[in-house]
Formats: sequence, structure tokens, C-alpha cells
Amino acid sequence: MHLVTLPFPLLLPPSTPLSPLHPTFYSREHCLPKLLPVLISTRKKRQQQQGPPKSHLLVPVTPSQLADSCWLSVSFATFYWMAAEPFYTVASDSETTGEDKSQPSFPDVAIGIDIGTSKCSVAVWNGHHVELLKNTRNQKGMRSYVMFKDDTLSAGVTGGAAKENAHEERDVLSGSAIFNMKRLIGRMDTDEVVQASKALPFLVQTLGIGVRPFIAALVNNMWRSTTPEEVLAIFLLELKALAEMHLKHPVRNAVLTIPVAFSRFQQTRIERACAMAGLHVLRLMPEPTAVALLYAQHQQQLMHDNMGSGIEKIALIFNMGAGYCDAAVAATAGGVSQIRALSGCSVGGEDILQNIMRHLVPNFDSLYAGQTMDRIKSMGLLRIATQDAIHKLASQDSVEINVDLGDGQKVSKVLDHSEFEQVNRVIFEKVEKIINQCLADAKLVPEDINDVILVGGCSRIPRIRSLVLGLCKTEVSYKNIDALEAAVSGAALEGAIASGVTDPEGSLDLLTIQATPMNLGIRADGDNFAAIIPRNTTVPARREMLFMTTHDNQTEALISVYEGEGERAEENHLLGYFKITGIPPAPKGTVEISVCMDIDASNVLRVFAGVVKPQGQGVPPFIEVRMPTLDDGHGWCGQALAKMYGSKLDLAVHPKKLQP
Amino acid sequence: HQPDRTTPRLATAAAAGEGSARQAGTMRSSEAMELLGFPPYSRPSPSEVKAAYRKMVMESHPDRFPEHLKSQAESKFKEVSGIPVQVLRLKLSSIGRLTDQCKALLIRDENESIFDYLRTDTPSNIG
Repeated sequence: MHLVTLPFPLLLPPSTPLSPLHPTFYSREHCLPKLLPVLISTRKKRQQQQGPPKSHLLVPVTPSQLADSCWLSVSFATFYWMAAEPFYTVASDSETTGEDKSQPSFPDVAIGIDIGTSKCSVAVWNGHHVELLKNTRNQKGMRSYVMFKDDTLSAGVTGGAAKENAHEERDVLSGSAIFNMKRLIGRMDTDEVVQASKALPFLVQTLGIGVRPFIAALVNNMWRSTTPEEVLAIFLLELKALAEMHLKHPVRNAVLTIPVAFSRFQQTRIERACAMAGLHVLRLMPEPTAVALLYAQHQQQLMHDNMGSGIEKIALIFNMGAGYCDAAVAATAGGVSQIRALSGCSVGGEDILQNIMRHLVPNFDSLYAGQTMDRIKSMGLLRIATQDAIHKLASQDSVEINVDLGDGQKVSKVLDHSEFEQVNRVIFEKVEKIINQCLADAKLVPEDINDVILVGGCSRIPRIRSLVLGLCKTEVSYKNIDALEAAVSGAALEGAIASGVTDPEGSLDLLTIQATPMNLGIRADGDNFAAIIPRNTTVPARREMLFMTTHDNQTEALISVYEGEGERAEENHLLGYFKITGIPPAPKGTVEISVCMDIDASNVLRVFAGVVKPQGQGVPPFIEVRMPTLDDGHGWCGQALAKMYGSKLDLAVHPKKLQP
Repeated sequence: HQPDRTTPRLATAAAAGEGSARQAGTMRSSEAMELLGFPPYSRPSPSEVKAAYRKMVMESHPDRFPEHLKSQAESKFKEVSGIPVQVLRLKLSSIGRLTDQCKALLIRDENESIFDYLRTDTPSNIG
């Protein structure tokens, strides 16, 4: 046994499913109490079986072993949360063998992972170019789901559901698989995306009070509970194993792409899922910015080949997948891609699919209200038929849908483009809003755009293409980028760059300058939202703002940190809160409080606050808080604070800030 | 040793007991010029500022530095990208070439960062 330091702190508050206090924790046989003995005995057993100890990461992978190693990671994490040690160390037998030491040390290059709502892919920098990895079924884009069966769990990477692709989708829709986790992760049960997810074949139960939804998969005619983080972790573990199989060395670091619309709270959930899978998140990149990096590389290549001019080029990147839709404007020159504006929302192919399903079966909601076995099967058939029709519509003028849903319910319909567009009108309006907002934020007119890059599965829908190209006043989109592989390729490039890899040919001499997708600020002037770091600010960034007290002799002030686009604080996501105490008594408005927000290169948000006037020994020290501090139920906390304190601890924006 | 990454400029000033802690958002013009690599009292044109900004960004973005120099680079990057455009005292003749929208932007907010300003500097609004 040997001690290695984990590259990340395991910050696991008690309400996570990893915690032994959490009810779902005990539902797993693997994770009964006495965690450490479980851990050691498993390891001992493996040593006896396999002679000299090896890293479990390199053992040939079967679904059951994967499940086993997954729960092992979970039990690691739990143990160290329980121990609450200042240094996070994990017992590992992988580094002790002479065999490992004699091997040349591998370059610790981060892999790129694109976890899509519908499909996932993984790519690596192989020393010369980005390579997308294929699974045993020769797929680059692997269906995102985790299949729950008796004692085994298997994800879409190895194709656990079925040996043949044709049967895969049917099995995924049987209720035993959890998918669309990217739409569920980090969302409360009041969220409309969670509400829409109730039309999925697995169980999504909501109470509508602002807590996390309850999700469960069908195992032997019983709903077995799980969480989106857990499902994602299992999936990531299979992706990690796939990468390790190709690279023949352990993988520690990863760059993941995320939707622009992801809140910081959702980002922590992704990080947690990665930690459960033993991956350290080097970067979370908004999807269009990953594409921007790939575009920057293309432009640089063109310049080397003397085909480009080296002049700044403006690209609008539009990405629409199954769950999210985002846009970015990037200015690229000399391998530097600067993100000028980002916008996004949670609208995607899943919404289009559900709209069409509801159009085909007008009594959809009442028909599928109860999740009985035959209803799940019937909905699966409808989903497959609808999906198929939408795909066909990309190349055909109309499509005929004929499906027998059982119970005498039959769908027989011809769907054409105008009907398809009518049914999805609201979605196209949202897409239009995203593009227009992005252009306005970048302070550009359509004529400024040199290239329009369309990526993501939904960019194949003719109406989406014509809509985006029309808004950018152009006829054609940029051609040299693969719509489904661009994001993951960009992530792998960023992984190589952020890991410090250099390429003698200069193809890694690239840089993306990221921007914040949402306003960050605090509650001030009553229930208003004072943005300290406005959206589309370049990161790393640090901005300060002055505030003042609102009551005479006010000794305490509450700093509530929010993220979002709303003008009122309560319309935004509450990230956390803390108090400044010990303010020297003084008339209202005379005490000046500085709040500084700082986003570092790893995108960590820190808030510094303290009294700057009056000064002296009687003033309390500044306070530094890493955000987000909140875990669940952020809607509740804001209301509870308002109820408890009213306006007693309020601050107002200092007029110095408004009148120079 | 962590440089001022974890302590804001203001807090350090206050802690050191400096007579006048710098107010949020105030930066002297000469400081801004020096940060961009100009002589303190020069009056560069917008395109010179843009070129200088590009250069500074490339020279201070933390992604371009090894681990032990990252935090130092990061502080510099934050300072450069946070320069309020108002303090730059750009050549008026050059500002004359900007569009009305861009001029409005220049006087809109003293805390408009250099980045906000530069992103308006595109073929359509600068001749």
C-alpha cells in the first residue's frame, strides 16, 4: 500500500448521495457501512487473484468490473469525507510495483470529453493531431445512457444494452436505462426542464417544492433510485476506461464541454460526477468556445499555408444538440481566439421530439400519465418512430409515420416541413433570440461575421440552418468542421494546451480567451441585482464595486451572491451568502463596503468583501468566500433569509459608482 | 507563497494602512498606460491600444505559463483586461473615426473595460 495525493479536494457536503447520511446511500449492497474494510478486502482479493498488484484501471474491462470499480471510487470518496482530513490522500496499490516505475513516465495530457444529452465522445491529442476514440463497436459518438440490470450497470460506451445497434434504442427506452442526465443534473424539481423530463421512460418524480427530483430505473419490475450525478459518474468511468485502453496509461485529467446555459451550481455537479469517476476536471469549456478553438487552429493552419491573410476573423458559432442550444461570437487572429459574447438556453432536440410526439398523439399526457409496463413500451415505440421521422425530414420533403402503440392506439400520419415548423415555432423563436442576443452583446451587425459555424445534431435540421444563416445574412456555413466532432476535438486541443504540451510544428500555439456567460453580482438596493462581473467579461477577471450601509448603526451586512440575467435578485441563481460582521456603528450611507469578485484561470469564483471606510484597527478583516457555497434548494434559502432578516442587513450600491 | 491572487488590491491597501485606499474602479491613466507598455503620458490611437492589448494578453494569459508562474501571470491579465477605457485618453482625432454607437459607449460607463471597448473595434465601425 502506498499513499498518493488526489489531485482534487473532495468537497462533499452531507446531502450528497455519497454521504452515509443520505437515504439512497444504503440502497446499494456494495456500500453498506464499514466502508474501509470493504475497500481493503476487495483489494486483497484482487491481489490474490492476479499476483502482483496492478492499477485496477488497466485490468481488462467487463461491465461488472466497471460497476465494481465505480462503487469502489464511491467508497473512497465517502471514507475521506467521513475522515475529514485536511489532506486528501487515498490508499493505492498502483504505484508500488517495480513494473510501473520502470516504465517511462507518460505525459499527463488531459483528455477531451463531450458529454452530450444524447451522445458522448472522447478525444485525445496523440502528439500530432486530435484523435477521436472509438469503442468496441467502432462508434465515435456513443449513446449517453446507463443501463441498470440486477447487479450490473453498463453505459452506452461499451453498449451494455444490446450487442446490436438496432436493438440498443429499444432497450434504452425500456425504463431500465437512465439517459438525458445532462438535462437533469443540478436542477430542482420546479424547473420546467425537469417537468418535461417526466415524459421519459424512466421515473422522474417531482414534488414541485424546489428540491432535487427523484429519479429511478426499472430493475426486475421495481424502480431503483439513483441520481443524475451517479449516472453520469458511471458513464464517465466507462469513457475513462476507454481512453485508458487506447492510451495504455492511466488518465487523470479531463477537459469537459458544457452548455453555455449551465449555472455554476450545475458545473459543481459535473465536477462532482467527475470526482466520483476519478477524473480531475482541468477545464469546463462552454461547447461553442471549444469549437472556436478548433476554428482558430484551422485559421492558423491556413495562414501557415499562405492561404489566409492573418487578419482578424469573426466567427459566429451556433451549437444545438439534444438538450441545449448555444451561440458564441469569437474573434480569431494569429491562433488567438477571443470570445466576445456567449448566449445559450436549455432548448434542444429533445423538445422538438416531444413537441412532435404530442402533435402525433394529442392525448399524449393523459395516455402516458401512469408508467405501467405497457405504457413505457408504447411510449418507446412512439419515440423511436418520431425520432426516425425527424431524421428523415432532414433530407426529405415529407415523411410517413405509421406506428402501432398497442391498446388499439395507432398513429398514421404524413408529416411535412411546414407542419414540422408550425409545431416547433416556439423553439425556432428561442433560437432566433439566442443569435440576436449574441450579436447584440458582441456589438456586431451580421455583416461583420466572416464565418458561420453550425455544430450539434440539430444543426442538420434544414429550418435551423436556414434560420441561423438568414440571421447572419449569409448563404453558406463554414465547411471544414464536422458538426458532431467539433466540440470534443476542441476540448482535446484545450486539454493538450492546458497540460503544457507543445507541438514543434506550432499547431498547439493557440489560445482561447474565455468570457463569463452570465452576470455575477450581489443583492443590493432592496431586491435588485447589482452585477459586479457583467456577462461576457474576459476571464480570468477581477472586478470590485462599492456598497454602503442602509441603516443607522448597522453592524452587520448580508452578501447574497447571485448569477443570472434577471434584474431582480430573486430571478437569478443564488450561489451563496455570508455576513460581514463588526461594522463600526455610523450613520447610514457613511460606511463603505467593497465587494470584489475574482474568477481565476480554473474558473473558480471567489468573493472578497470588507469595510473600506472607515479604516483602522477597529475594522474587521476582509472575508474571502469560494462560491458556490450552496448545495440544494437554493430557491428556499433566499426566501428564508428574506423572512428572517427582511431588509435589516441590506446594502445599497454606492453613488460614487454611478456618478463619476 | 501566493502573490496578491487571494487578496484583492483594495484589501492589501487597507491592511497596509495606506492613507487613501484606492477606490473600486479608479486607476490612474499613467498606470493604465504603463500596464499596456506605453510611456506613462502618451496618447495612443485606438489601433495602437488594440495592438498593445493583444500583445499583453498573449504575454500574460495564464494558459501560456508553466504552473509556478500561472498565478503571477493571472494577476497581470486581470489588471490589463480590467483597465477602464475612460482612463486611456485616446487621441481625439482617432476617436472621431468611431461610429456614434462606439462614441456613446465610450462615455457610457467609466468602468467599461478595455475589452468591452475593443470588441467594438471591428471593420464595420473603424475605417
